[in-house]
Amino acid sequence: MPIRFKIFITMILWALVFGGFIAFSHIQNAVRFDTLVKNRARDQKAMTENVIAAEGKNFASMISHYGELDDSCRCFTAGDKAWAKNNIADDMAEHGVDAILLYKSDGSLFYSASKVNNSLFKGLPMGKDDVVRLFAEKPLLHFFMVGGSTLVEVRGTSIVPEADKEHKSPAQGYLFVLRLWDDKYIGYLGELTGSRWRKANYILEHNREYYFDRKKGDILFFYDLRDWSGSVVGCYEVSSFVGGLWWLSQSLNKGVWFYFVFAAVSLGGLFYIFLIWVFKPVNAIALALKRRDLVLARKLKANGAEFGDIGKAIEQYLVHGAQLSTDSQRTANFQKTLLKIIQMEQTGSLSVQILLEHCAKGLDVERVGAWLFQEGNMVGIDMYRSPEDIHEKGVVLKLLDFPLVLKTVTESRAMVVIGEHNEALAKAFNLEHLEKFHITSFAVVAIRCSGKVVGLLTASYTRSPVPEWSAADKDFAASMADMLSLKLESTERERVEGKLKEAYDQLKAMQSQLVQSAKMASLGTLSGGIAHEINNPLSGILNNVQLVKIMAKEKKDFDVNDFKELLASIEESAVRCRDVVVSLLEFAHSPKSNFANLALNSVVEKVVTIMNYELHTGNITIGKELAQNLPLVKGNAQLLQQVVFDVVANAHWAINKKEKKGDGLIYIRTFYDAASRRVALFISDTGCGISQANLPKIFEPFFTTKELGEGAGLGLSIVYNIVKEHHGTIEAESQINQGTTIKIYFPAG
Amino acid sequence: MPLKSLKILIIDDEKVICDFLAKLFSVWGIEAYVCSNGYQAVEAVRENRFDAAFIDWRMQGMDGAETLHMLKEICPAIKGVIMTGYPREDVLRDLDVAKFKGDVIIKPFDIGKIRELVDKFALNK
Repeated sequence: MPIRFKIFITMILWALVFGGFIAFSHIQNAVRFDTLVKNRARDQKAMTENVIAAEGKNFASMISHYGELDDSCRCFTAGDKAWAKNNIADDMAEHGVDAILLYKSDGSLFYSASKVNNSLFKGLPMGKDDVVRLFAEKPLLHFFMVGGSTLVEVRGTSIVPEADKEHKSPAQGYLFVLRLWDDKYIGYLGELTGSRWRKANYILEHNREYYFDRKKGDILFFYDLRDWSGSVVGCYEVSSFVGGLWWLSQSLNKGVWFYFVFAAVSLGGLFYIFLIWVFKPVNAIALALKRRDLVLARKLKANGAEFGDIGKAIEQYLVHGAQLSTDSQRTANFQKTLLKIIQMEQTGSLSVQILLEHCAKGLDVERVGAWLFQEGNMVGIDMYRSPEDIHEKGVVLKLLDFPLVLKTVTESRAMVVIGEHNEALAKAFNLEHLEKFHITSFAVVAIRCSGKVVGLLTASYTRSPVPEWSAADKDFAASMADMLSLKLESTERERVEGKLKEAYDQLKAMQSQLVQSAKMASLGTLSGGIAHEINNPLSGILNNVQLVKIMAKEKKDFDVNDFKELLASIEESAVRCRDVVVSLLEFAHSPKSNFANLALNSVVEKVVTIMNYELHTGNITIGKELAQNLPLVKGNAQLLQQVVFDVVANAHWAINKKEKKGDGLIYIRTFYDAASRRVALFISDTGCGISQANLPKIFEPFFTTKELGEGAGLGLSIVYNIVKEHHGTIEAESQINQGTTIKIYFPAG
Repeated sequence: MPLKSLKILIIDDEKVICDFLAKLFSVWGIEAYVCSNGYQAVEAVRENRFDAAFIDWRMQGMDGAETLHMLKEICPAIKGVIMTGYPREDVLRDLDVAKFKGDVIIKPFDIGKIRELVDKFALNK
């Protein structure tokens, strides 16, 4: 709920309570006053009645002491006017009666007498019914009537036999006596009773006995005025001034006014106080807030004791706000700097030095340092002093001297050592060191590589007073530390990558050497066979030539025809020699990646030529099922020869390895798989087979089950790579002691 | 004993070698028979008496060592000469040297060496 509503409601409640109190007190007074008035009015009326009664005693006695009732009964009944004149009219003077009216029981007038001008009794005689009606209410009547300009006092009685004191029996007739109240009499009565008499034309609608006129201080009571028909046509007002009551009434009225005035004044006062004490300062606060008027806020703080705290709060708010706006400016600058650094990092133009310079500029600190942990030390890889624009490096601090620092840095992202009252930290950071460099406040951020703290980034102020470290400052420092770690990581990565590439190149060179060596090695294992392959035809040449010489020597007569057979043998042997040498050269030659369309069958044939004898003599039969019209395969002849050679050599080895030695069979089959448009080369053997466990590994480099010296485990991996190079696929099926089938598919050229 | 009295069996699956040795021995007046494998040789030795056998080391079916062993069982007096295109060391490593009492000649042949062997066989006969 807004404060103004609260205040409003409070004031209304106050007003209600106040008003209530006033009303209560007023009612109390009024009740008391009314009682006073009532008593006074009764007294006054009683006195007036008494005076009227006393003054009109004679007149009243005409009715009240009417003594000749029995005679009257007869007179009334008989309508004996003479009797009436003699007995009743004669008494008029004695009783001060101005007129008499005699009515029969049926209400008809039968006698009247008047001493005064009849015009005063205008309206007479009364109607029959009116008379009966009047007396039906009560037997003795006393009322006033309008008699011209003056008042007529009327008294009446019903005529009953004297014995009937209570007037219970039916009236024999009715008697009215009238008396005129002239002004003189009325004035006289007024003097006697201390009251004023006034005829009023209004008819009192209320039944109040009396009325108090507060303005005049008069107590009023009324007598009904009737016309001759008996109906009320007005009233006669008797007012008597009561000074005491008047004064009391006046003072009571004044009291109400006083209450109201007091309430108004006090409310006004309250409002004024509210205005002065609350509204004005609040307005000033609002204004200060609106204008961000620090001076006003400070004045408020200094002046108003009540608003001191608010003023303080406003000041803080404004100072903070100003700080925040400076911060947001700084943050924008930080972002710019960071973006620049990131760009530099990406283009590779970022160095630790540049990064520190930007860090110092961004944070507006005097010193920035990048430290790395090395063998228990903190080594300053770069330290930048911004006012002097100097870079330093090589400062070494012992890590063990700062255990608390390390712990805190590891736990939190960024921390301020001095400025956030980290005295313990400051001590831990070696106060001497700080004093030496005049450092007044500094922040430390951990440099993390792969989540591990590898160093620290420090940013220090040397100025005084020390600016506060904002959250944005710390964030920026942390970001710079991140960039630094990125830079360090990338430098490290480049170094490692360089090494790795070197190693990789070496390995690659080694591998190609190794492949060549492996090739030579496999050739070496066959050198015996190759020797045999060459030596046989060589014998055919050399020994046959020697034989020719021997024969020529013994025969003397040299005829070439005699040696025809021998010469044919020599030639055949020489051709065989040449073929073997050519095959060997082709095989041993380092492969050059010249791909051409070639027939897979001829590749197979060439390898078989080299190996045939070796296998043959090992009781191994080479079976061939080479499909005719096989599509050409795009490939390198030497590499493909090596594939066939290595697979066949493995088959040879596997057959020899078989425990139950028998005649081995190597079966080479080529065919065209039209469905997949591939040329297939299947090489099966009846060797020892490959275990299921080893089957997936056979194409891995250096995987071998051969004993040391038997093979390097490179053959099939080389085969695999060559097949891949030819966009082919290779798979192996094998069963222990049953044999192995290597299935190679090349895409048809 | 003159060379002409000698009877020599030549066993090799290489026709060139067989042809050459047969021609050489005929030039020297030595009676020579040719077999292309060990089984034929065994048959030949069962039917005829031979003074010596020139056997190829590596042959399909029975190899040279085996063949010589068989021949010696049939005719213990027969002299064995193992012929090979492989290095001599390979052969000696492979043969059971203790049991083997014979000579090894390397292809291409040193005809002088063959002559020495033949002369030795003729002398010891």
